[in-house]
Amino acid sequence: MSDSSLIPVQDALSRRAFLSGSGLGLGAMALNMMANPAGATAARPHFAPKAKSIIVIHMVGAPSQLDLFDYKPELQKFDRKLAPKEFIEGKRFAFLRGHPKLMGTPYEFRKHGQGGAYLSELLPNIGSVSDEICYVKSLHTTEFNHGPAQMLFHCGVNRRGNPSMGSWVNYGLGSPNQNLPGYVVFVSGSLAGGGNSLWGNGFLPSVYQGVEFRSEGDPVLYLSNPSSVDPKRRRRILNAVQSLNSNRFDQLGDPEIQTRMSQYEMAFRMQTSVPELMDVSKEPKAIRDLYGEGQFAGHCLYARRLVERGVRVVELFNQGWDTHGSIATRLNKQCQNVDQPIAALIKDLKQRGLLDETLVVWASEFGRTPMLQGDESPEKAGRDHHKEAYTIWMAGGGIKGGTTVGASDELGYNVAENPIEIRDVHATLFHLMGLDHEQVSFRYQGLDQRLTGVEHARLMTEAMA
Amino acid sequence: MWSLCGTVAAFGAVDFSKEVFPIFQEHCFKCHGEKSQKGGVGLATYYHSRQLGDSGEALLAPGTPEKSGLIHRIEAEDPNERMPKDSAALSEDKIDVLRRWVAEGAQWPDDGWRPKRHWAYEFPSKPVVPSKSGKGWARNEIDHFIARKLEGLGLGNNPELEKASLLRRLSLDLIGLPPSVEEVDAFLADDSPQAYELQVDRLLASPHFGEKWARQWLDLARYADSEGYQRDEMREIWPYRDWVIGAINRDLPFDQFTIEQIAGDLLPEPSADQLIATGFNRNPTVNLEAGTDPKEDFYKQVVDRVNTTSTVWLGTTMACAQCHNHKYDPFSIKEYYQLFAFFNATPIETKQSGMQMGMSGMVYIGEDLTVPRSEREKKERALATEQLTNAMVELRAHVDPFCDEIVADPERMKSMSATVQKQLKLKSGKRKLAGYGVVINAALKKDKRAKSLLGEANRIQKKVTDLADYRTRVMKDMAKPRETFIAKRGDFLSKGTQVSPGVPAILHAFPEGAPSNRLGLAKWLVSPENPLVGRVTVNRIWAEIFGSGLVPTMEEFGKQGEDPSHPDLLDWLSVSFVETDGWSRKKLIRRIVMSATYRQSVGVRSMAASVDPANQYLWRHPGHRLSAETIRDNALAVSGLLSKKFGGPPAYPFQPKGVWRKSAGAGPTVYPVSKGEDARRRGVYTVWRRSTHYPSFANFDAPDRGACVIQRSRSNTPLQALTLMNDPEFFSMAGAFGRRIRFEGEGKLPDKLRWAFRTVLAREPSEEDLKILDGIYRQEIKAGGTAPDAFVNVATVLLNLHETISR
Repeated sequence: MSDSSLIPVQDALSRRAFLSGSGLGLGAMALNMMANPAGATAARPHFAPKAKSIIVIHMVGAPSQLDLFDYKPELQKFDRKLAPKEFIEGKRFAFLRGHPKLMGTPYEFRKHGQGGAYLSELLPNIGSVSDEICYVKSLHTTEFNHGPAQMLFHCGVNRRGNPSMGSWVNYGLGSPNQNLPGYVVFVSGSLAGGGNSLWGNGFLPSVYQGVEFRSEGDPVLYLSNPSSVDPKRRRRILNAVQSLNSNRFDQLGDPEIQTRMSQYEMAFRMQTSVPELMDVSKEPKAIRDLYGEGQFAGHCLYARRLVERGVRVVELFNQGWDTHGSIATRLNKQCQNVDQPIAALIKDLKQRGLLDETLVVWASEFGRTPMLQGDESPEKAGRDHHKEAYTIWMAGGGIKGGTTVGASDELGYNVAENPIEIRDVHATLFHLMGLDHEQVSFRYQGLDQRLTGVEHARLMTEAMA
Repeated sequence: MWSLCGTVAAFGAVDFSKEVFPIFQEHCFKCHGEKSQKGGVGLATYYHSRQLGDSGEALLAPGTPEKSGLIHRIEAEDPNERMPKDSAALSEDKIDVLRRWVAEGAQWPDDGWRPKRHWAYEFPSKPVVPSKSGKGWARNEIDHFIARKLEGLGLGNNPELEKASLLRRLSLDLIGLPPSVEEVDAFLADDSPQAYELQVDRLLASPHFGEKWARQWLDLARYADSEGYQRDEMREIWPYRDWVIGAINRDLPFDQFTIEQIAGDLLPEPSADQLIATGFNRNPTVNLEAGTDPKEDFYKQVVDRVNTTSTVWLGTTMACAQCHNHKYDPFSIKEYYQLFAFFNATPIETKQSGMQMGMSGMVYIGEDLTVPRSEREKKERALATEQLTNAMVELRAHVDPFCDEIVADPERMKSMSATVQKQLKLKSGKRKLAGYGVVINAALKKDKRAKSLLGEANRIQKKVTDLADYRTRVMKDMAKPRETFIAKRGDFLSKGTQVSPGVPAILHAFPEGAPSNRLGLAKWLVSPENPLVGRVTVNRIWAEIFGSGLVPTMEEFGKQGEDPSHPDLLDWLSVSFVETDGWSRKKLIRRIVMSATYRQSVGVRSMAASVDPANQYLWRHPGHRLSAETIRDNALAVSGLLSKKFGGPPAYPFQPKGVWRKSAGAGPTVYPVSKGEDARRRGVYTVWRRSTHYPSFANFDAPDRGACVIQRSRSNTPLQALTLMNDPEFFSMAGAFGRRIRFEGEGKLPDKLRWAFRTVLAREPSEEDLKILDGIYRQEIKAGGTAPDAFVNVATVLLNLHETISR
């Protein structure tokens, strides 16, 4: 018997019925089918968003907050003196053993802008946009090893398997751009320990995963045609694929076939839109100079171009901040690579009127100890991983610039006021994007899973404009 | 005082049904009655009144009103705290009644009410087959159950798929490979009633069956070839993968399959195979990032073992109970750690070691098993070892005199680097092969004989190394198991009460006389009394064939899971699987693929779609997409490139540069692409590195295997289109297939195109289909392309069709 007697009825398949499925398979197909093939459905926010896009800049390895943002005059006084016993007893560190000494910062700190935030001399450019920034100086995490801490920061749990926050945002909001993925990732330096699960979709459909734009070869894996296939030949092949798929759809009426067809068109469009995005030759020299040289600077410029095109989530990972030793030389070098481009990104977004609708987050997986690690000499001294209190900052859409939230104690060890947990940061970012973190959920293993988990997460209203 | 006569009850006991219960009815039932128990508090039944509320506070402390939540709440001064909520406080009289009632012991006659047990915890009985349903269509019991549901909805079923496509579906579902045109022709020519059944049995007996069906199990076993986390170094545990393939091929009954994986090491005189099987629980990630606490990492591994075990065999997410009593299902934190205790007996797997730049590193010290080579390989190795000895003798005889000469000449010695000097000074017998390499490269570059002797010795040395015994990871209990404590709030440093191995009270009893270790646990999991294991296993196999389970939440059968679409069918299959078929996977799969339900066509009918748009009741075959591995295997087979080599170390098929790269850890950065046929093996053998798993697989929803995955998502994305069109792997398959069409396809162009179509899709192309293929061929020629180019276009088109990557 032939299937041709069957009537195609894609319209009869209501979106609601699909979405109420298990969330796997059919749900995912339906999402793709209904709206944007690149970043899945353009769902609605729960309330008016303050920001449309988010750029997360992750300093992989953990920069020293005590040498960049969290100025501790008291710590200077105890430089190279034994740390208080309560810093050590009953505590665990990645590497510190015995009774370590404290270390004051070797850098000068200066006040910046109206807000008067103290910043290290290593960050003069970020200092110049300090009034756009809200510093969070009382963030606490539960992990002190890189891999688990990175996963906690990006995925809400300390192990693999859960979706990253960018995937959640994409799942919650979709992406308005029809020609680019809704969630784009750049990596400068070596790969972060958490690997690609830091932008993975976990148990969400893979349409929500971050797509890494690479520095080597194709910016997106498999983007360019094989060398023997020119665009005309590709189009011919594609037309034949579509005609045969279309025949099949006429016979079966299976909506999944239509989705497949739209994905092939989308892939074809990406072959133009991605190279166009990556071609910065038409950017004025003044703009390129603003961002400066280097791979990370390029990534900052791409980030602006992506949010300009409506891409929902951009993440920039920059490796090399794990300064167990030789802070004095290594931190200088790291800061030279990122200070100018990050400030340029904020200035450039602002001059285009995009900063108001773009959330910029500068973060890391944890901070560094007020205690000295390794050789005491100024050249070789370093700091260990520190989870009790560290600093991140946010700027742009919905953020109250020129402010500081929370504080560490006078030696920079514990939170002294306004303790903030990672889940509070997640809830706040979601809120600014127009999402209620308690409502962005996905049924998995019999539970409504959420980025912020089951414990109470607090909105950081004090950071909001 | 006489007035007391009128309130004689105040003297005697408070009357529960006349005085107390009416107060509850009037003031409390709106929120705490039969229907609603806000805050976990219910006042409608004896059972509810004896439960702890969500706050953990006792509602009633018989005899002590001061300790009773009920009294606290009705007497509270803060209106936010006080009950009844949002209304006036109870009158003093009523408060007095309740207070006295509690003081007198809170007597509450047991009304006998108990919560209904969740269906999945009730033992399944074999339901009666509704044989009146599905007349004229049903082929076996499955169809009667399916038809009854459809008839109830007023729906019919789809007709049977035409034969050629049916064989393709069957072949892809059973062995993960497509039938050849010859196989299709033979099937079409077979008009006997047993034709289909013969194909089913042929495919079930194929050695490729295990390669296909291992995939699902390896996902949930979180099998991978690397450690995970930041370091993500490679690990050797592939013998476990081969064990799974072999066990499935020989249809090892699922109960035995379970026992060997959970506790093969604890069986009496276990075979090497049974030890290898315990690799199941050595698959969890190991964190070798410097500065990790080995005890914490071990705790995480045991947690993974508990969670995976409960998900795989009980369809129950125990993870919640790691930190607190399970909110929805009847599992306590104590029971979680009782399960934990079964696994808390293996040695720790990492230790901190060595100091580099003031930092300690981490090394793996887990329990490994040496897997001996085959007798043939052992002989080869012995031969190579002997050859190596001879080659070394020759090398020494030739090179040693030169060394002595140089050592005797201080001027020449001075010109050598320290490393070379060191080697030169060694006595003849002490200098190793590598040492000869150093010496020859520094001082005897022009000596052809020395070079050739060295090359030969190196070649033989590599052969010896390559033939070294394999290793694999296994479970082995320590002589004395660790003591297990509840980790409060899931923090392994906060020790709570000590617990011993045990199983959750809501489930069946631990088998009498079974040992209190993993072997006992394994026997408990596959006990005939376990209400879950049959259903959960049957459901997973059903889903592998139909795309989703009869219970759609495959990993969760608890109260938070979805109810089965066909509860009777699920139970019937489960009881048949365990009792009738003796846990045989192949018999179960045979039942399913023999059904008319399975043989339906894919076509969407408008009426049915409006009633059951998600096709939950299977009025059609879902025709869902193939897995990442099968998509690749299918294309390799069609293009004639597929290697059918079985088992062994992971294969490294080509992937673009830079996918493996320097990471913050210390794992390998260079991806060693396999040579020859090893680069074209089935996907199940592809190396699985957790931080960067094979990119084209990742694009087709393959998980990173960092944790147990029961069901892969199935998405449809532009990256999949790019992969099939442009991945050099797929493009080279298209090239090879293009050549096959050109040379193997017989006859003129239309015949070749027809052959190509049938090679990929088994069925006959329509006139319209052929016209399109003819068009793409001719357009290429017209555009100045060659015939080979034009055939590559045809091949590319066929490999990119939706139908090609679906069943």
